[in-house]
Amino acid sequence: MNTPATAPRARRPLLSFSVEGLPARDELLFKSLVRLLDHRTHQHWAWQVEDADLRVVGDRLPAPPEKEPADNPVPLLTIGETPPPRGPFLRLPLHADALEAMLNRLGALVVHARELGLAAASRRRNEQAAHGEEYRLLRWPSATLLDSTLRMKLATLLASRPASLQALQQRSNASAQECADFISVLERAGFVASSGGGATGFANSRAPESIWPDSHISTGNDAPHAAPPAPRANVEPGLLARIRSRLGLLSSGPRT
Amino acid sequence: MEHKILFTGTMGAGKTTAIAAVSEIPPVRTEVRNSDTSVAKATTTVGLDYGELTLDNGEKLRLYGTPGQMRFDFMWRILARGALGLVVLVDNSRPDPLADLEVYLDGFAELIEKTACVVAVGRMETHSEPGLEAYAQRMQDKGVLCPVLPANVTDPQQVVQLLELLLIQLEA
Repeated sequence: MNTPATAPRARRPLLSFSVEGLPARDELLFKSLVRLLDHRTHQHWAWQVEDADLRVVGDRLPAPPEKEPADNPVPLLTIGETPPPRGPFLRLPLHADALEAMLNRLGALVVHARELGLAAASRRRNEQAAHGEEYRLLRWPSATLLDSTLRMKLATLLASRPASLQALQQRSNASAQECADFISVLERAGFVASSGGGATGFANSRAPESIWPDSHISTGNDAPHAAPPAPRANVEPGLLARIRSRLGLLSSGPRT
Repeated sequence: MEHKILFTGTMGAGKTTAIAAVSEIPPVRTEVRNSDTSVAKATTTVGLDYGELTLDNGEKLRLYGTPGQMRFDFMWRILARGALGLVVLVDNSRPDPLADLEVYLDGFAELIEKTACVVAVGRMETHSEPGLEAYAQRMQDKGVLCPVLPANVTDPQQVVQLLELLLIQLEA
């Protein structure tokens, strides 16, 4: 087998794959093998119905029409008996070594493409941040997207109230890149909308005037239109920090 | 001022266990012989469970487990007054755990809207369906946006994690 992933598991990129046109038995076998190989692959692969990072298709599925690469950024992996005219192919029966190598190769491609996209998205987000753009969680994300404690924390913060990237970074102690990556993943999966568009009217479960009771943070100009938060009636200053301390939890307050 | 966090959920979902996992005193329990044959427990909570933690300024954080049965929902409203947040424990091995969840989302709607909530789904290791996706969808249908995650409340670290998610929401 190939060399196992050296990156810490929590830091591995999270990628998705969809499966089309495979017999049910082969589809089940493929998904099972991907799960079994998870401790070795360089990326964490999770199945989703559609709009995945990788399309896995049976060799009997009609080949997609020729497109320019820019129009068809999702790699296609064909599985079956007959290799397609172009593109990666794995022959049945599947062999774990070959599948592992293929997933790592395609995963690297996807991550590279994503990074290129992220660079553009990052520039766009910097412009949005300058205008106080806030991100609003539309629903609780799929468990596959919450593959680390940090992401669970970021999602919880966003579930509480919309936040700009800067505010999210301050409240979570995460790096700007970690916040941007997570927002990108949520955007791609349709779980978040920016305040500039895509709002669904879905109600937040929290009162919008909820605040940061233990530590006042200056948000600079990240949300110039937002009124300063008002104190919560039922949370006295310092209480949450004392509860954290008693539970042995590190402060989640902003970096100073 | 009283500081309290509520644990709610069906009979057998683990409210008493969750409180015992983090309380610094043996939980005070109000239990009687169970007459509900659909539940495999000899006794069940009819009033409430109580545990507590002493904070560094001497104040107490009180942990209440609510009665599970809907016939005690009048007590839910009393307990919810002034609470910091709510942990909903769902037993995924029950016949319709999503309907169970709805009962508590409705019963504590005002508290959830004003404070913080975490939904912890137990026994997913033996009963994988419904999955977390179904829970998130049902919560969205009810207009509730809060963390939902699998949890084994016999593990104190996992109970602490649930409480931390409440705190993060209160701090946001």
